[in-house]
Amino acid sequence: MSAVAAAGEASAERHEIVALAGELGRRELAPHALALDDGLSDALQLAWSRVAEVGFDRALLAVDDGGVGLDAGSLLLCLEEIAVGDAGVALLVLLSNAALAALPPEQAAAIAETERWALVPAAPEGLATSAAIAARGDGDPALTGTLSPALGALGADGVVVVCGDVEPRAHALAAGTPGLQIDACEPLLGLRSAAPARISLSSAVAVAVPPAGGAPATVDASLALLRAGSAAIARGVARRAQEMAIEYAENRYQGGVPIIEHDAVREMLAAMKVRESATPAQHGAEIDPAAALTTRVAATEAALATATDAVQVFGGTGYMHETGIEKLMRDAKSLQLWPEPAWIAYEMIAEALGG
Amino acid sequence: MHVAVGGTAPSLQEAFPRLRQLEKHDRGLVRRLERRQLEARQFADAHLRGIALDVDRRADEDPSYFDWELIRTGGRQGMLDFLLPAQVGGGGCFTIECAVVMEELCAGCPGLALIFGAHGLGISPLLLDGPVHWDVMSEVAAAAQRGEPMLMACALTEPDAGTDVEDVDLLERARITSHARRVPGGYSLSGTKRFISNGGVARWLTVMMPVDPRRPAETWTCFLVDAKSKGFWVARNEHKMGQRACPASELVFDEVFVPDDRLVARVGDGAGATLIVLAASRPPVGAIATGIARGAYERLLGWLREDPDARGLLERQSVQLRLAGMAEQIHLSRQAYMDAAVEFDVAALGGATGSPLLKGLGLVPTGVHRRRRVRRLMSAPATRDALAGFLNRATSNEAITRSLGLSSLAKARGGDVAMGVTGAALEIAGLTDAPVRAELQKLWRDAKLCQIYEGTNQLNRLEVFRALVARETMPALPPRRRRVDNAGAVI
Repeated sequence: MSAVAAAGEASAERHEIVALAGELGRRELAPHALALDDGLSDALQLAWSRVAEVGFDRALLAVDDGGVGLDAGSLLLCLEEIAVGDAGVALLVLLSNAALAALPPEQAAAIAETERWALVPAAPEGLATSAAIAARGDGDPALTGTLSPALGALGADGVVVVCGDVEPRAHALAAGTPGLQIDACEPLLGLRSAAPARISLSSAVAVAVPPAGGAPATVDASLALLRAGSAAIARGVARRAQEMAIEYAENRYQGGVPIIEHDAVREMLAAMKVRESATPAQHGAEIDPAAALTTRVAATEAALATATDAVQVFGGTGYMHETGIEKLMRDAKSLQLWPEPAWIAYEMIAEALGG
Repeated sequence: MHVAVGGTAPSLQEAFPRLRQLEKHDRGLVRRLERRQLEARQFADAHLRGIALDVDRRADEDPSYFDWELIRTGGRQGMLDFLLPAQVGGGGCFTIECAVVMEELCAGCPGLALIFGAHGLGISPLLLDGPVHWDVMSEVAAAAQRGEPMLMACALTEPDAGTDVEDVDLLERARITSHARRVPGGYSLSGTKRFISNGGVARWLTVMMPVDPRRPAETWTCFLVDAKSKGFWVARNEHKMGQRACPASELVFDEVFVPDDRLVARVGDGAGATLIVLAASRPPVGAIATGIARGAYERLLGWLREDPDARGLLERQSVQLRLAGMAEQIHLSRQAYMDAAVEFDVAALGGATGSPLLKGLGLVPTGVHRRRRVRRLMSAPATRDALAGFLNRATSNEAITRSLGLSSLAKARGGDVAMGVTGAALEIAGLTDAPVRAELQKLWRDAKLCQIYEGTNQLNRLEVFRALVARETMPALPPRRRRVDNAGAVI
């Protein structure tokens, strides 16, 4: 069931916004997916202007605060639809919403509508990373440390750093803040529109800090949103891969018949459908952190298996950049590593089981 | 000097425990393999590992980028002539040595290694044609040793026919658009070949085309084409996901004339020859995949041991279990390719390669093979029939089919292992900012090709079924006698 169909079960209004996301994904982003993958800045600017036009970048903010007033479940459905067009842009939308959601509404509302911000989680649990953040100062704390790779931070107008062990938990830092440096770092395999950056903080003072004890979002809540969003994006990637594989299999001939008639291909296509059914869209109004963790693992593993098989259906053609199918495989693999690698997620799930 | 990453690169006898037993019977073979492994490992450590990422980036920006300097060095160090017969000045190696070399090179850089592998694939069909093309082979060997390499490539795939040109049954119904038309004194080749590794940089190409497009399997024929021929050009180089250092090209043949004496075997021998070539080339592909997996495993282990950011990870059971799984998969993949290589060299073609007749031909001075009269004699129908008869006496369709089954098994298993191990390694490294992430990302991209080329894994597994489960016999050997009419059609 597509996200649009799932939305239709909830309300007409929700259905309409998810349908808009679907239009954006298929008509505005998919035709430019290769340019976005190649990191062409014009393509990204155009894509982001269309995202901002509809307000997907601040979808979770209340209408009175300049947002769309979506609940989390609706945002997830939109992300899936946008990811059908380009997973990297969908990730930017997720990071923007997560950044604004981590701030008090009045501070989030104060961020200009033309700006793109990204949430940066500092050292998620157990993650092998050089990230280290320390805060000093009694008033507006100054941050020192390095965060890398921070997805979507390259070219952002600002970042919201959320920390697990530093009070307060969320720090909004506009690009250009003294002591804040955002540099390009080694790109990921995929999600190229959400280019990662190395964030170096040297006594950087946040421009917006939630009042002590009044942070609207904890690190757990931010990570839960990122994980649920990652799962939704993975579903979009898998759907696109499945569609492309079926279309190719119907039109490519081998041994005198379309390859969709070969059992070896049919079985791969059937497995894609099974995985899609086994990882349904999560569209409840609230995000359950435990479910978000397990759902992300299942959805990203399913997306990776589906995209890998889709390349296999294409054969040698699929290994070539121009077909756009290998991009989906790279996007899916990157999603499996973020915001934490799947093996660490398994450890966290096991820990929650007790023992 | 050999520098092993993380101290994990195995010795030959660690890699293949059965060789300890084999050594008792054939000490010479084990020593030769050890020498080849060491030479290839030293070459990979000194020349491939260090430039792998840089070449990959350059080829990403410009798919026609090619590191000729490296290939010149490789040629001087014996990486381009080891498959050529000793009689023409080559290393006289067989599938076993080729596979061991490819694992080592691929642990360094699969893309750069593929240049050497694709060169070997281009040579392979010629090896089945006895001394007929020894003049070209001796040129190729001498050029490599001088450091002025003449690369080779094998052109099989077409825009509308990929996997199906590697299977006799599928070939019969494949959408083949190329055509080798009979003309006075030879054949005129027209059509397009696609995804040809080394295609844009090769001097000589072994090209498969049908003489009668309505009967592609029956008239599938191999030609040796000089890339300087009129009417041949490189239309484009593909922008690949991985293994980018070796360009994959689209080649256009526009009425390219090939003289009769550059026919490889006889008209119609191509489909069977393809089966034999695949039986020989798939174990090295299994080795390529094993090398990729090993390269990822070694790099990951090096990072876990040496990088402060990875501190503590090696002590976690989750990581230990995954590393053990990788070691297990790499070992099993390696045994599969070695079994297949031994099967091909010893059981399938041992009778031919060990033949006193073939060895005796080596006593004839190389220059003799270049003489026009000798070449005409060697390419005469009666000589070709005699060669087919020799092959039929030396081996059997049953032996080659079984060999192809094991080769396909090694290839398919290896491809899956390469994907699994590189993916798992990347997962453990996660989003580290350390340089190892870029290396693992590249190896993961490189690995995917192993599930696709030399026939998709699906096709390979169907061949495993036919050869090892259903115990079919595939028609690999050429008929002892074959004639064509004036139009070039098989009678």
